[in-house]
Amino acid sequence: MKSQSARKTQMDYILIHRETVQPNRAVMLFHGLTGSPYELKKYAKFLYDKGFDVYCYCLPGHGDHKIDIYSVKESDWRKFANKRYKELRNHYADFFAGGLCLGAVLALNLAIENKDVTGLICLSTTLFLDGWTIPWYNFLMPVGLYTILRYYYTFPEREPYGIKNLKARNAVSKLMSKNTVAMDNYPLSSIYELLLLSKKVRHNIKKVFAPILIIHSLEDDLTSTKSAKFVFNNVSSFYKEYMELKDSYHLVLYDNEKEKVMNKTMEFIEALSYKRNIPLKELQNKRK
Amino acid sequence: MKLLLIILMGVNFLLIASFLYGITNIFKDETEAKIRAFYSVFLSVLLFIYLILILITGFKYLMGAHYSIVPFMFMFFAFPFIGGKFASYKKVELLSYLQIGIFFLSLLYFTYLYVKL
Repeated sequence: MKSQSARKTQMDYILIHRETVQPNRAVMLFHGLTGSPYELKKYAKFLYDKGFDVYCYCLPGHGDHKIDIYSVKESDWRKFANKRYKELRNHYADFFAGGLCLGAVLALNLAIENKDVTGLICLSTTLFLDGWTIPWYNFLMPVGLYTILRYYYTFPEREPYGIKNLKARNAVSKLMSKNTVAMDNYPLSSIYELLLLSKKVRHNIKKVFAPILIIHSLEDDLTSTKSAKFVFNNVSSFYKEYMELKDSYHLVLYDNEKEKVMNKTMEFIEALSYKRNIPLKELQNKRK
Repeated sequence: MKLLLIILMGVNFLLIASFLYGITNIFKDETEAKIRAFYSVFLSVLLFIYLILILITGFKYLMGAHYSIVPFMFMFFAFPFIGGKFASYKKVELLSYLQIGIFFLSLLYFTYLYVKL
């Protein structure tokens, strides 16, 4: 049995090969802010079909009880991710971490705190909130963020919901209105916690040594490519790749280029497997 | 100076009334997210104007060498952020009423300054 004492909630999405196939590699994926493992389902299934065990847990403050999002702290997310990782790591030869939005920031933090992460996949990494849908009154953000107003303030989800593809956008907006697999608003207190976590990761970004794949959309409505470029330019990874998408918004796993994201992920992982057979010194010399 | 104090008192009063109204009527689970968002922006704008006016008033008094007002102005300016620093979801109601209490104090103080002029 490979999964150990995982917190069993209805929203966890875990795919494990049993009995006949015993993969020696796994990936842990983290969903975005106010999202759920549901948004990673297709991606998780894709990786599972490629021979990975996949673990997508519902992060603290998310899931069945909407009110929890107001009381969750960024330390809850970090501790949760670390705990799950430590429970599973020794069962696999290769263990990748990845995520979307907040999930990507969490994956980076995991690599900062654990040097044995095999590789990172960061999708729509959110270190700064500077996308084109951020409202004009954003300059008031400090007044909201650093006072008790952050527990009253919520940003309602609105067009384009992070998706450029119209059909996918309509489907997702219907799900959001039910507030089941994703919430229809962002409490400012949760954004405060995301920004605190982002600040910690930015300060410690040079402690990321794991190979990394960064995928970001040029037209991301929530966070510009500044976040992705910051990560790419500052990590200490000997092997890093950056792919910019030209026809998607923030939720790259739902949008027009989702297959591209999936294929690039596998390309990165396979390249990594190949490169790991080459002695590390040789690889570092090649990068110079 | 009198005009500045009148505006500050007006904004202060509006802030107290809006905060109280918000806590008792707007910020409830059943309220639509858009109304909450709009009201939150309204409160943020009021708080922003209040803070700017405190800075301007404090600066003008300092220019007139009235240093005794400094601790009070500092407290009124800093308290929203001090409250925010120690805020959590469990303590938000307590801190909200504490903040409203500070707004009352500031209103009394600005009224005193106006009368003294």
